[in-house]
Parts: sequence; C-alpha cells; structure tokens
Amino acid sequence: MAVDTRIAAQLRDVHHRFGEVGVLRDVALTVRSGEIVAIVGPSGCGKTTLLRIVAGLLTPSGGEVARPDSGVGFVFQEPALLAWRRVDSNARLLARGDDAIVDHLLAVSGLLEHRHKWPHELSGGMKMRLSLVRSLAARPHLLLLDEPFGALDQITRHRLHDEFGALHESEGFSALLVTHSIDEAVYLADRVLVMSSAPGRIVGEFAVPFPRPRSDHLRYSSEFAALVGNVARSLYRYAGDA
Amino acid sequence: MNEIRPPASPRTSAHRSPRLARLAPPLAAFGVVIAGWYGLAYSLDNNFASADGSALIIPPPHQLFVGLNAATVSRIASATWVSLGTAAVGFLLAILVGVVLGVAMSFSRSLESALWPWLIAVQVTPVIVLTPIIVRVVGASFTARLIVTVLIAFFPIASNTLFGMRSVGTALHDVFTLAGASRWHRLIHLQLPAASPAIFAGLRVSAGLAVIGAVVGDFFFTRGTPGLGRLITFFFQDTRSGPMFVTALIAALIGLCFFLAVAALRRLLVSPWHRP
Amino acid sequence: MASPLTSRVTRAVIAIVLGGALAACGTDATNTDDQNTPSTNVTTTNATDSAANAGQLATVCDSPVVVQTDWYPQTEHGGIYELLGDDYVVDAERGATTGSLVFRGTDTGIDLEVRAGGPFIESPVVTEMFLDDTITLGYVGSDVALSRYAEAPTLAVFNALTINPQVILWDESKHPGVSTIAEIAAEVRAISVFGDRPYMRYLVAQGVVPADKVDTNYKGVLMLATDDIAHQGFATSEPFRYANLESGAVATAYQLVHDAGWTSYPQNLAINKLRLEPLRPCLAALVPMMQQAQIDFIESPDRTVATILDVVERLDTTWSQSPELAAYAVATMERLGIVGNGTTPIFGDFESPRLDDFIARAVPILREQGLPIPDIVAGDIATNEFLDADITMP
Repeated sequence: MAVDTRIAAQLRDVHHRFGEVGVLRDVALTVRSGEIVAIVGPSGCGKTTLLRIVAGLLTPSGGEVARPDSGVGFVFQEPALLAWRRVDSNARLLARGDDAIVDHLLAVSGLLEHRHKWPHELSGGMKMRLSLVRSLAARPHLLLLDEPFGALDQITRHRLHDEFGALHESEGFSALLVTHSIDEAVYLADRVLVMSSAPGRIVGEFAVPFPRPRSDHLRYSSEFAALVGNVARSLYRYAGDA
Repeated sequence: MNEIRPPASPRTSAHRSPRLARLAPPLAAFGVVIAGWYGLAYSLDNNFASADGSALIIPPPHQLFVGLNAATVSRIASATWVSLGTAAVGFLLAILVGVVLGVAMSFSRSLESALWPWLIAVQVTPVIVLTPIIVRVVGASFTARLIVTVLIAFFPIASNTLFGMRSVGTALHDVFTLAGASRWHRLIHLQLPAASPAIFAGLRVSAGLAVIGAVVGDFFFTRGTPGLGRLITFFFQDTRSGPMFVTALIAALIGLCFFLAVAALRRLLVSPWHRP
Repeated sequence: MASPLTSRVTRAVIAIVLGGALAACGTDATNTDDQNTPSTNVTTTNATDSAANAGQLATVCDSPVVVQTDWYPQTEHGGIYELLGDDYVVDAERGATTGSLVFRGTDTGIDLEVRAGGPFIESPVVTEMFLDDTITLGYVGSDVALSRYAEAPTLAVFNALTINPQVILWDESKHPGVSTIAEIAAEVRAISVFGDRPYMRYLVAQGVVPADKVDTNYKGVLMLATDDIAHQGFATSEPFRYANLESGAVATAYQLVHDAGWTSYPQNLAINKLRLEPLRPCLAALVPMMQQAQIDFIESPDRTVATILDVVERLDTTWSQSPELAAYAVATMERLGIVGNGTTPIFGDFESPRLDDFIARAVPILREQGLPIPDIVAGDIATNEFLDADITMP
C-alpha cells in the first residue's frame, strides 16, 4: 500500500481464522494521524485478535495491514511490568536512550517520586500509568491499547481517562483502543467502531464530536448519554450476528 | 469538650517482645532436640559400659568432643576439605548444568520430551548403581566425585528452571517481541529474571543434595584421602562414637551453610521485588 | 622339665582313672593339680587338669558360655566348635549356635553359644563385648585390643591362631616371580582391602605399599581375573577358591601380612577386662579346654568340620563353605603354622618378645590414626595365667 503519512494504520479485507473457526471477517479500518479510534464489541468478537494483527504480533489469514515503520506501542490488559526492575528502569525499557522524555512522562503521570520503587509497591492505577509511560517513552506513532483500564475501580479509571487524554494532547500519538465499555470508548475516542460477534467485522462507526480537552462533566451531559445509547443500540443489534 | 484520648501506645512493651518472641520457637525446638538426645543416650542399655565412661553407641552432647586429639582433628579437617570442595564445585556445576538443561528444554518441546524421561531416570536411580560405571569411565578421581554430586543435585534446578522459564506471561513476551528483542536479549532480560524465583526454589533443594552427593558419594571413592562419608565408617569400625558424630554434624553444618548461602543470595536478588 | 611325651601319657592315664571315678560317683572331683601334673616348672599357670575339670565347669562358669566370633563360621573357628555338642541348635536370625559344652566326649553340664560376627552384629566385636553382658569371650586381635584399650579394654586369655592367616594375594600368572607385598605393590594398579585397616597403614608407613595404591573398597569379590590388582584374603581360603573358580581357575600367590611385619596375634579369645575378677574361676577351668580342643580339632577335624558346614547351611546366607575348602584350610593352617605352638612349646600362649615388639610397631601407627592409646605393655592386653603349660601341639 502507498505510504500516507496522514495514516497511522490501515486494514483492508483482513480476515483471520484459528483452525476451522473464523474469528475476523472482512475487516477494513483506518486510523488517521493523531486520531483516537475505539473499538467496542461483545466478548469473543475478535477485538484482541484484531489489535494483535495491527501490532504485527499475529499475521492474518488474509488481507492487508499497514502500520508505522517505526513500530507501535502496545498497552495490555495487565500492566506487564518487569517485577525485577524498579519503576524508572521499567519506564526506560523501550526508550531509545532518551531519558528526558521518560522523566517528563513520569512527572506527568505522577510517578516521578516513586521512581525507585519496585512495581509490587505500586497500586493498580500506578502500575497502569507506568505501563502507559513505558509505551509512550518509545515515542510511537501508533499506540494500541487492549482494555487497559478494565481492572481498575471507577474512580481510578476516570482519573486515568483524563490523564490519557492529557498525554494524547502533549505527545500527539495516534491510538487504537479496544474496550468493552461504551462509556470509555465515547469519552476517549474521536471515532467509535462497533464490531459484531465472531467472526467479527466492523458493523458501525460513530464520530465523537465532543471538543478536547474533555472533562468529567461531559459524562453527565445528555449528548454524551445519547451517543452512548446509539452506540449501544448498534452493538446490541449486531451482538447476535453470526 | 472532653478530648477523646487515644489508647495508650503499646509501643514500649511491643518493642521488646517481638525479638524474644521470634527467638523463642527455634530455641524451644533446639531445647527439645538436646533433651531428646540426652534421653536417648542415657536410655540405651550399656551405652556407658566402657572403661572410661565414654559412650559406645551415642555420645550425649557434652561428650561429643571426647577423643578429638590432634591426629583425629587433622583427619576430620582433611575429610572436610575433600567433601566441602566436592560439594561446592559440584553445586556450582549442578547449577550450570541444571539451568542450561532447563533453558534448553524450555526452548524446544521436542528436546524436553526427549530429555525429560532420562532426567527423571537419573534422578531416581540410586547412586550406587551409577557410580561404578562412572568410576570405570573416568577413574576414581575428583572428576568422578563431581559427576556423582552433579547427578544427585542437578534435577531440581533443571526442573524448576524449565518451570520458571515457561511461566513468563504472554504479555511480557509480547512487550519484548514488539521491541524487536533478539532471542538472547529475551533470555537474559526477560526469561531468566522472571524464572529466578523458581530457580532459587530449586537451588534451595539442590544445596542440600549437593552436600549429600558429596558425602554419600564418598563411599564409592575408596582411594586417597577419605571424605566425610568414608571417615564416618572408619570411625564406626573403631567404635569412636564421639568423632563419628562430630563428623556427621560437620556434614550437616556444611549442608546448612550451603542452604543459608542460597537463602542470603535469594534475599539479595529476589526478595526485594518478588511477590507471588 | 619332663619330656612332653611322658607327661602326656601320664595325664592320659590319670584322665581315664578319674573319668571312671567321676562316672561312678557322679560327684565333683577335687582339684588335683599338684598331685597329677608332673612338670610344673614353667611360667605362671594354674596347671589344672582340663579333663578333670570337665565336670567342674558348671560350678564355676555361667551357662551358656557365649563366644562372640568375628565372622561367619569357618574352619579358623574350629577350636570353639570342637566344644559344641551334637545337640546344637542354630538360630539363623541371630546367627547363634547353642548346644551343650562337651569336652572330649564329656558333657560339662553347661551350654556353649557360638555367635557369628560380620553382618550379624551391629557393632565391632569389642563393642559388643561391652554392650552385651551375656558375652563371655570374644575374638579380639592384638591390634584391635590395642586400639580399643582406652575405653574398652580387653584381656586375651588364649591365642587360638599363632600366625595371622591374613594375606595379600595376586594373580601369579600375571606377576611371575613376585613373592612379597612390596614387589606386587609396585606392579599392580591398586591393593584392595576392607576399610581403613591398621596393617595397611603400617605397610604404607614402612614404605612397602605406596599410599596412593591403597583402595579401601574390598568387599570379598574375587576379582583378580578381571582386574589387575592385589587384594586381601586369607591363606586358608582365597587361594583355594581361586583355584576352583567356575569361570576359570586363577593361580594365586601371596604373602602373609605377618611376614611383612604385622605380627599381631589375630584371633585371641579375650574377655571384657572389667569382668576379670568374676570370670577368673571359669577361665581357669575353661581355657585349658579351649587349648586342647583347638589341637584336637586340627588333628582330627572331620566331626567339627561337619558341624561347621551344617551351621553354615542352616544360617542360610550368601556365605558358603565346602568340605574341600575346609580340608584345604585345615591343611594350610598346619602347613603355615597358623595353628601351632609358636616358639614356645606352650600351645596358645602369648610370647613376650613378639608381643612387645608388635606393640612397639603398632602403637605409633594407631596413634597417627588418631586413636588415643595409653602407654601399655603386653601384660595389659594378654595373659598366659589361665593356660595349661603342658598342653602343646605335637
């Protein structure tokens, strides 16, 4: 595919099967530079598989995938930190010798004063922040996130949403986020894609018009609720789809 | 308004008792062992029927050092040197062999399925069966002693290394894959550190086994300076119970030291960051 | 001193007379030492008439007299089994054989219990003698008596084997012309012995055997055919076994460790020295019987050899003896002087120059091993006082 610097990632006709089982079917999507795209869908619909294909961790059974040459960042469901390294060592893991960015990211995430601690001494939220810092320290053009905030309590999650938003503002990466929380998808993303159940395909797309920076009170506005409702209806309609 | 006073801080009494409370159980156990030892020594018929009142079967604790003249101490020292050397070098070799085998098997399922039954076979085969073969091939040398020690001690390390290597989470592996890490890099910076708690669990067991291998294996190395194992039988033949027990205790102490060394290393390298 | 022949005839006559008197009266005969023994001008002996005391034994000895041997039953133990009556019973689990103590056909009225050693005892013989109050006598070599004197002193009362049958042997065909341990040590790969034996330490200290050639792994396997070594054995046993190996006869040559300088008296009947006083009366009566029984055995071994072979079979272990091996052993014991008078005519005595000399050689070796041995003399570990000075091997 032609390299278009305005595009962070693109999938065309991607399909994938594990053995006999079809997991993804006719997936086409584009992530533009600087954009946050969220994917919602029922469990088992192949969202994680899709993300791994975009990351290059998995080669699809068919279709074309374009991703940035410099590679992608990936934030997993669990923090996936190296328990035997302290916070700052973990943060530095993927940085290409650039200490300044690491310190900056740690400061922004409120981890700077904890940088000599071991991961097990951090709370769940702090571990997730560190995981984000680690990925962003490599200055990826594209950040992939697989339900990163799912294990956290609501207060921490909302706080991290805003921190993520702030990081996105300052670092300017593109992101493809997979989540089962429609609230989260709408709050964070510029566009929300709806996937059907397995074999998954994109069955809906919603633009999120809310301006940035977004803050908590947005969650309680009627426009927000309406959009969430639309996405939800779309999801439920296709949830039983074969 | 009356202030609600907090309860008086129990700091002063709590400050002293934890130290004592921690020491009490091991001291009590030690006391029970000593008491049992005395009980045994004094309940055995005719244990003290010798001409000088020394024990014929089991010396009580205060008689342990009877018979330790210069010549005997020198014999025990030589035997200790032999066994300690065998155990120490054997242990290090067992670590090397165990880790390499564990890592190799973790890389290749076919290697694992090929090797694993043989490793188990070596583990369960009594050493007395293997030692004559070893001695035939390499002679009754220090090398042979090392081989025997390694054979007895390596298995828990190999098995735990394999287990530890396999227990690294997929997400962590993905982090390294996405970063384009080489196989070597992944091994050194991800797999081995992640496996280290399991490896240390194996080291703990093998520390004792290495000493056992050195001391028991000594029975089959019947030329040259005897190690602690053979020396014990020599003392037995002369019914020198004091030196015999002292030698056995030294063997136990060596095992304890090895164990403590592993524990100390673990405290340094693993404990700070490890939470299962 | 009257000639041995005369005194023997005299005593035989008196024995018959007295034996008849005993049978008739069934009462104890009095001790007739001074009257009946013509020659008394020898060393300190209670010159008791052993035949006369046959009936007296029950009054001075507890029943059973227990003898703890050091190995499985073998012809070297013949002198003791000679005293075992035909009513013996074998306890295979304990390795003990018990029967009437019979001297030259006369039932003494008490029992004899012969205990096998080796795997049947948990501790060495001397230790057993101190742990077990029921043991009367045990087989204790002079070297062992020295080693253990400090905490387990024993007193040897009768020397059953004058020359130690222990040898180092080798394959003669592979090493022709070799006749000494020193020579064979230079030629073979190793000399294999059982454990850390003092005699081997002695040979190493003398420079006869290089230290790095000593292998303490010997367990009785006859391996000269397959291995270029020399190993320990007994002149009374291994040469015969090798000559009759099923896998092919091996011609062996050997040297007695005695001839190499280790002149220990190997198999003495000894007591726990702490019990000397209570045992005196019994020893006075019993020791001469043991002397005579040993001679009787060598001269006419058939009956007792049959007993030994039977006991071995009943013990049902891996140990085996054959009539041919027994015959070979008896012949070898005679030929090499293993059973013999030594340099004095008294049978079974401990000869002072030899024992003093041995102690002088052995004590440094044993002390270097770490054994705490006090300064002792021959009289501490052996006594001739219970021997009948007239009993001699013809």
